[in-house]
Amino acid sequence: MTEPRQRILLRAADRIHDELDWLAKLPDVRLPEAGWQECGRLLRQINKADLRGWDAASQRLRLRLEAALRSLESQVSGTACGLSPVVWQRDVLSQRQLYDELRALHDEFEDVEYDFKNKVLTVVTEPIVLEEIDLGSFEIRLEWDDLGEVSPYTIWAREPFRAGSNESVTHPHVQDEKLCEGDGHKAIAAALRQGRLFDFFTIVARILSTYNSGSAYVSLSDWIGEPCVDCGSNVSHDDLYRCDRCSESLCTECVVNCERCEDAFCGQCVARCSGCEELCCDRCLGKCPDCARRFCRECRYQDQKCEECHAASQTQAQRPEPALAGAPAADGLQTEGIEAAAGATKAGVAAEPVRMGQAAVSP
Amino acid sequence: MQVMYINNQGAGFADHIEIEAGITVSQFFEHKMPGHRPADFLIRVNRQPVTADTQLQEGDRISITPVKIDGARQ
Repeated sequence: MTEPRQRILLRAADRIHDELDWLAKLPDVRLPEAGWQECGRLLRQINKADLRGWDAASQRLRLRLEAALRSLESQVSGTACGLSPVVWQRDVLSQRQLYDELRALHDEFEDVEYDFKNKVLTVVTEPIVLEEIDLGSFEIRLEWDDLGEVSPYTIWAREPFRAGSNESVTHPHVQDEKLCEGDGHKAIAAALRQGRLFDFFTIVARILSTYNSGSAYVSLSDWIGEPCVDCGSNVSHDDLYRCDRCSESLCTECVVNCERCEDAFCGQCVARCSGCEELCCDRCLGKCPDCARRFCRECRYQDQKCEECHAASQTQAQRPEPALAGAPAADGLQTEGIEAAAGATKAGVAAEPVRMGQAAVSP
Repeated sequence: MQVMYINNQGAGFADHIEIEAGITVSQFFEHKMPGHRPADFLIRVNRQPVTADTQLQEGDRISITPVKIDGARQ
């Protein structure tokens, strides 16, 4: 081992020893009072919001209370675990022993990094491959000034291969950078309490290398794919459709084909024709200029009107025009009409060209 | 002779124990983990991988960690 590396290990061992020594002087059992008080505070705020009818605020506070209660549950569990005589130990590893712990990490893992400013010890695992899905390497980041906390570490994917249906899941048992320890919970707590850093990182790495299909945030069978925008189910890339309008992902059950152009769409991008009631896309539906309802091209005439409005406009067109004063008969000679038009023109009033059966336009 | 024995299975165990002098790692495993296969565990002496016939020494640190540890969802 190089001298600079030795100095780093000695410095880290010294820092971590100070933290463990301080923790060893604390009372044996500490109830999570701060967590309980936080829950009480949130509950009072919820009651106040409910009394005043502030529904949105109440909803947000309820979500925060739920998260606080789950955290409290974890803290209580951790405290109970610490009462077990098998795991409770107040002997603090010496600095020499901690140095040995850190040195062994370099032999066991791909990489070990020390951040003295933020007090983080990071161990990098080998690439994790579960059921032929390569999730890549993970960083186990231990915050050594939080060693007295229930979960003083986080798990970060170096090149995240996130679950298609839930981006916050980078590993079947890791969500939002938090590992759900499962069967390893008590052993991890014991290792951290006693400063057995080598054991801690080894146990966490073994959990990351193990797939428990019965209790995963996202199962590996659903890992690759995207959620259907309509039903939410995970769709593999082989079975995926895309809406031709909004490009959202669709499963085979939810895809809708336009009755006219037969392209594929999601449920939001089709509508029923007001005439034939078939599902059609926006391109194939047009608005009747009279009634403003939407019809497919089969249910519209050349004037874009629906059958009802087209018929109404046809009826109106066939009614005779009401007669105007001085106007000639529709099928007679229009001498007087021409003269009237000429007179209007002379008067400087713009006139429409005279047509059969029409008088000049009056000014 | 006295050694430090750490078992990271289940709730975990970590304490000094007395063992016979000259006992090998495989003999120690058979005694402490009856019915289990060594291949299912990471066995480290003084945090280093060792062969099954390695003899344990006074003050050694033996750790046994399952290869497969089931995680869960919250």
